Amino acid sequence: MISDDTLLLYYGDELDGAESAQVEEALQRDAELAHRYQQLLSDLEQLRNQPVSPAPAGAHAAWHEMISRQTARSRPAGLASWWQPAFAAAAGIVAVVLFLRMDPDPVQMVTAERVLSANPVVEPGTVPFAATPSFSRGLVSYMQTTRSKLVELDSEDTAAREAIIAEILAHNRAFERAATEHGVDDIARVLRAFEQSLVNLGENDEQRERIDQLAFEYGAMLTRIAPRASNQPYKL
Amino acid sequence: MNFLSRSPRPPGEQAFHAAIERGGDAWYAACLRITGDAAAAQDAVQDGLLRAWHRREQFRGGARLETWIHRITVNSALTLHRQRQPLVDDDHAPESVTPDPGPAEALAHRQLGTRLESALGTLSPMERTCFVLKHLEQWRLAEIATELDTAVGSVKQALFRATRKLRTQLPQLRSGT
Repeated sequence: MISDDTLLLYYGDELDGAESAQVEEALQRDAELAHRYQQLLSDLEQLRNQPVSPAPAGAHAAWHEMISRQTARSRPAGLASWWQPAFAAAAGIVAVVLFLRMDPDPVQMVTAERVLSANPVVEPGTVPFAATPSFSRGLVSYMQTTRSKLVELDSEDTAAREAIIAEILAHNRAFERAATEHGVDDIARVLRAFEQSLVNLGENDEQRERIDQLAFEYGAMLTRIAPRASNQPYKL
Repeated sequence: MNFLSRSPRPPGEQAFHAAIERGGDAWYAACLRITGDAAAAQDAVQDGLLRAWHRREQFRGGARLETWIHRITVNSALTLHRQRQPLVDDDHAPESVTPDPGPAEALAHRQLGTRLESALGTLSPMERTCFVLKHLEQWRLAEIATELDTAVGSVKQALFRATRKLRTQLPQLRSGT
């Protein structure tokens, strides 16, 4: 008796030669089995041919825009070793300066801690408001953790390193989105610069230099924002 | 100098824009089916596209650019999904489909978009991922096992359960209820 599970493996070309020949032979002599197989094929086809969800409005535009932005940042390969870290550092420093000059409106602060603890990826518009410095504290916490992870990144194997970078990217994106949604554009700009550098970490052989540079940038920003965050009164 | 040995030129901006037009919806749909979450699917595509752009020198032109990017976005979706909801080998999971999801779950499923995506929402994360990768993305079982860091046998069992569950839901899928 050949089961539907075996037929599924046969259909998916996952049986070895002998098993496959056995099923083929059985299909030719057993009408009931052939009927079951046809039914399976039909069901799988129907599942596969279900309509596809189109990407939400605006998604294509965002992807096009990202590629255009990346193109604008493209440069000859020979400059790669210094251009990108320098750009990221400059963007970070400029943004930190801008951030320190701005007068924070507590109403615009967001509870990024909650965002991170609940889910690193948030739907636009779902980030809760709070009249507390939670966003600053969450950001400091994120940057401290990230800096530590970056410092230790080199001792990890490739798979672990990719997972860590992906996790940092997800958190970075959550903070960037939260900042953008609520108009804290300078923070968003810093985080965008970090995102670019984070993505580049996995892309080439000059990782050590880039990791050091990025850890330095996180540290620099952390030093500047930490006192602001800790000096704010805490209110539930 | 041997001009024949030179690497082909990597795809440029226009090639990527064209690939987004041709493949963007399919990338999104694949990521949505894996993650079950619209925002996560968008993030996965964005992440995969960015990675593809930075790795474009590695594109050899043997496949269409959108196919190559598709695979990268699916990998991004898997990474993202694992971070949010670790996959476990649920070899002893019950076979029955939840007949009556709660209001919140039902709403979440409806918001997923299509009926297949709703049906996929009734599977365990492991079943869902294995079904999508094998039957919709055409991966080999060994590839899935490697990607999910599990045994081929576990992938097979998850796939069998997923297929059985989805086949029982086909009448509803056909009728649109």
